[in-house]
Amino acid sequence: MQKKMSYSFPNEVLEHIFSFIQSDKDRNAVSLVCKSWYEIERWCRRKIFVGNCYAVSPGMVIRRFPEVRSVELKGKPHFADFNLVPDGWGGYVLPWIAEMAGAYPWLEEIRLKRMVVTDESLELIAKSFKNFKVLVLSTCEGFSTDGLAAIAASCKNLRELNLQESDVDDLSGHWLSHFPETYTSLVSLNVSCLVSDEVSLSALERLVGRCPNLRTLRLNRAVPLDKIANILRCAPQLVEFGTGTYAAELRPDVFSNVFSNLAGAFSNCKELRSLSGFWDVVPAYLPAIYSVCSGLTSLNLSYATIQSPDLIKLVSHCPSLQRLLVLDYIEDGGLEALASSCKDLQELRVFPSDPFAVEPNVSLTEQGLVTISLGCPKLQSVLYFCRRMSNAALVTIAQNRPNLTRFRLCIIEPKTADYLSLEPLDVGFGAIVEQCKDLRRLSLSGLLTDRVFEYIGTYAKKLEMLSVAFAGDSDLGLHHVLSGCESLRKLEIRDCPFGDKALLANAAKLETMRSLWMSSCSVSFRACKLLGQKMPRVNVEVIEEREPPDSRPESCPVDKLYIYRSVAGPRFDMPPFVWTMDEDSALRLS
Amino acid sequence: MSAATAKTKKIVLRADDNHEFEVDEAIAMEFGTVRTFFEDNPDATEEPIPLLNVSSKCLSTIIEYCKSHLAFRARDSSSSVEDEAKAYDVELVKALDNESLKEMILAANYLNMKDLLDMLNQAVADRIKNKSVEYVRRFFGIENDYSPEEEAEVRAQNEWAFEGVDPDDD
Repeated sequence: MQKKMSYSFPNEVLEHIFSFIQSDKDRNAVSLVCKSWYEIERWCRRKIFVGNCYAVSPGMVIRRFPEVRSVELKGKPHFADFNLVPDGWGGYVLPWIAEMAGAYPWLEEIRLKRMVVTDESLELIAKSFKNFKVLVLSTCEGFSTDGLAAIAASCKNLRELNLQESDVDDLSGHWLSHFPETYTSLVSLNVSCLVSDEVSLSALERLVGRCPNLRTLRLNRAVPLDKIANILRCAPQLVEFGTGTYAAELRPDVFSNVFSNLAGAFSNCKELRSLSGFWDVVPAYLPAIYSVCSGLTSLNLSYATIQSPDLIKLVSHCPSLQRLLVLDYIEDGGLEALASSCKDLQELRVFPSDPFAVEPNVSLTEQGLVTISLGCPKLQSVLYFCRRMSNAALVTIAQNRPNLTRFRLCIIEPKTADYLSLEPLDVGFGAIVEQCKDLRRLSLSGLLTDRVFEYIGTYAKKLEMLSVAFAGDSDLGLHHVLSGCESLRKLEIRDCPFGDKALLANAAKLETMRSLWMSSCSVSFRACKLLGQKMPRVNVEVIEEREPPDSRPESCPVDKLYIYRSVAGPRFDMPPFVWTMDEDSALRLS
Repeated sequence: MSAATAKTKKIVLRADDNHEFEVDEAIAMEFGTVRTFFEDNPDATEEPIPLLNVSSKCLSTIIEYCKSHLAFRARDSSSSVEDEAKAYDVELVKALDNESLKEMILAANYLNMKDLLDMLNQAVADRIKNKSVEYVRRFFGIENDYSPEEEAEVRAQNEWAFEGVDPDDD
């Protein structure tokens, strides 16, 4: 008979065990085992991720986790990227920084996405955290290079400064000079979003030259091509590099000089795996990168306005490519070349060169994507803008690539039918969700009826995020998704005929999701109020820029609706055009 | 003491069931508590050292662990020897059922053996990763002392506020 002992693990042993448990999911499980474990775990959690900054308050975070070193926050809903969220909506980081400044003097990392960051916030960060190491501002706004200067001047241990696609008021390039001459710890710098023509090249070169651990450097457009060689020579150890403008003169005397200098500098960079930038590409200069192409795993050509033949030449030099971002100039022919050269391709994003053109300006069709799906066995993630699609193509893609986890198809003209059969694309997307059993992310487009949502509700059991626009016939469509998609966390919908019924019938579902966005749909103000009453732990926010929702009959549909679960209750920083439907609102507003 | 006896000096370790294990001094010195004891009592080499909280089963496994790692270290510090040592650890852990693993952790903690404890704690962490709360409770033999309301509140906070990193989904 085995003697089963009752083990009393000392706290320090438990803490040691917990130090090997990093994922939030596992740490959350640990915290639920019993109250003493909750206590031990909360004191040693070092990293938190808050997917919706309004789901919890900074005070609650700090009270529970007093020793955090790394914070990640996300603010505005994804549709803010398409200008659907009005300015002033919210997502301010200052209240968080202000509270963390007092509570987390040893905070090392802040990562923000779609938040409003001010120079004041940046100055507060610079002042408050003595061991600050990582600042990532992804698709953020509200700050200027003055704020960056404060960070540069004060954060002696800064490793990473990444401004990924943020909207920065670029007042001057001189902020870079605020990094003291004694500062040498930079590992990653991404300033590709800075728009001013001014850039302090000498400060940049000196900075790059004195930081031996620099691995990632993404420059902005203002950095001229003839300066790149010098910069690269200062940092041959770079792994990820983004050029500035990739154009220079073609006059023979200039060209041969710049080209050989550039090619020589690139050939020194034996560790280079990722390239980006390439604004204003002059194709004659492209071969300067050929020496590094065989090792490239990631290539971002989404600003490179070069045509298919040049693109084909380039990608055929890159057999190790895993990730490619490119404009639709690549065309079906280029995608065919890609499919035969790049067997390790995992992620492909094809962006539209001229989304507003009425007629197609390039020969990129559904065929390109079909070819890729056939030729690239490791393909998992797709973002594809095109002008036509067919069910047959989608079915083929689904059958070729059941290992897809992310599929975003953007047929540019809303409600475009299958160009061969003129039917809706329900069956095609149905095949995608049925075959691709691990699909986590899906974006729909084209002509779609409620049928496609029935397929999605039936098959897309691992789907976490769904984007829908100009689709469906009735509430049944929304009902299928809300009742069927077990793993759904984020749902964003625009311009669909979805109304009150499905939403109210599936109200409980809203507590199992992070958020729901609906704009230009048919949800009435009355339903919003009812929802707010019925679901007190879910914030129901109505966005109405034209006039207050209660100035009209309550059967009128609201313009925009953002619903999210929260343990912090309704927020108090709403602008005048956002109304929150809390429990009392039904009484207050009637 | 002659050079001959110094070389093969043995120390006797006694487990909690009074079973005695004679080991080379080098092995015994791998045990943090034993090493400390000798630093404080340099003359007490004849008596068996009682290890009150360690079973014979654990003690014999730990002695084997020390012997093997001492041998690995004596060879060299090349990466291939490191790999062998790691492989040894993996096998050792694999052979331990959950109860034995827990017992070993408590023993390694009591004996103040850092490397072994690191290794065992990582192993137990791996065994409870990706498991339900109920599983973890059963694994450690812990009673849930949350009331249903308290538990629901923590769950809500965990899942709604601290749900876990997004895969990059834009």
